[in-house]
Amino acid sequence: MQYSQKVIDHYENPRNVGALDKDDPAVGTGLVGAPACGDVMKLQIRVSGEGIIEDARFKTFGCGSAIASSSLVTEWVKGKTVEEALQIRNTDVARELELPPVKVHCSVLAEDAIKAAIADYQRKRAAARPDGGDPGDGGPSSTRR
Amino acid sequence: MTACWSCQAAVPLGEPVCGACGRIQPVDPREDCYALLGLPREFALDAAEVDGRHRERSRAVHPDRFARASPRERRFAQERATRLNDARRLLRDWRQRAAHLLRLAGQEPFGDPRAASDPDFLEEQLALREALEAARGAGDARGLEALARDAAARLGALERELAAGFADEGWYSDHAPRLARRLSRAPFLEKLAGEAGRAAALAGPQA
Repeated sequence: MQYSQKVIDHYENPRNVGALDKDDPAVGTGLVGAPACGDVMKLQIRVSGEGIIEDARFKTFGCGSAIASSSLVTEWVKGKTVEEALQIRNTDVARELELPPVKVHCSVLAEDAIKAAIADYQRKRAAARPDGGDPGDGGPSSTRR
Repeated sequence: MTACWSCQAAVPLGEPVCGACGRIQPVDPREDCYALLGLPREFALDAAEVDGRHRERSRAVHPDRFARASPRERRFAQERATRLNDARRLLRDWRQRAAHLLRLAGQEPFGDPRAASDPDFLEEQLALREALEAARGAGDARGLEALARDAAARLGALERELAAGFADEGWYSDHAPRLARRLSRAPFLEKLAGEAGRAAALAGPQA
């Protein structure tokens, strides 16, 4: 199976490998696994007070397509609002990386990972405001699917 | 019950040969691996019994026996022989056996990451993979062997957990989703065990 040049690029020069502080209230952590292949993917975002994703890191244990998919998503979400990041679809990732059908599930995993990170961030924010207060940016009511 | 293609007599599901005219029957889509081998739908199976049933039933449908029969019968014999081989292979593998039992109970094994959310388990897997990566980077053969043994032990424990789950007679009405969720841990552990084993072999005693 031929990896596309873009996948090879992400694999050899991965962007944003690493970790953010899980306990930081501005950080959302998404941890997902693919039972189909045993891949594990962790994706973290740090969100500014204005609801902009200012940093994103990932750690993926899996094939080149899985690593590239998560690497690409961390690149894409930086500078986006949480709502914009929720619009990312696995099909966008698969198209950009020219993933063959057998590897499309890797892009699905990456979409799940960013959504899980955002959900975690929103959960932490909601917990910090038990009165449900002003949801503002990135709060639960701004989630549109 | 189905009807014999040749003489229209009633043939019980799973019977390879028509009792009335003796003609070999095609495999019915409803025949699962257990039915094909004439075994009870249990997770706990004796490997020798599986092999024995497979041998018996394969003899009766061996394509050589149908060398002078019609092309249709030769095709049915070939299909039965192949399906018997597939059934034996599946039932000998505890993971496939568990998945098969779950499907027969109407529970699709979890392939979708969203459906099988298992956060504590994934956290553990992440930590183990990171330990593996560190050990591999350091060329720590002993550490890698320990990780490989640990992963194999976890797989063994998972198999026993599933065996206990399936031994509960009411499992298909009460526990099918839980068992499916547990089964979806297997590929992660297998991948871990495989990678740790390979890395240990590579890092092994080198002059």
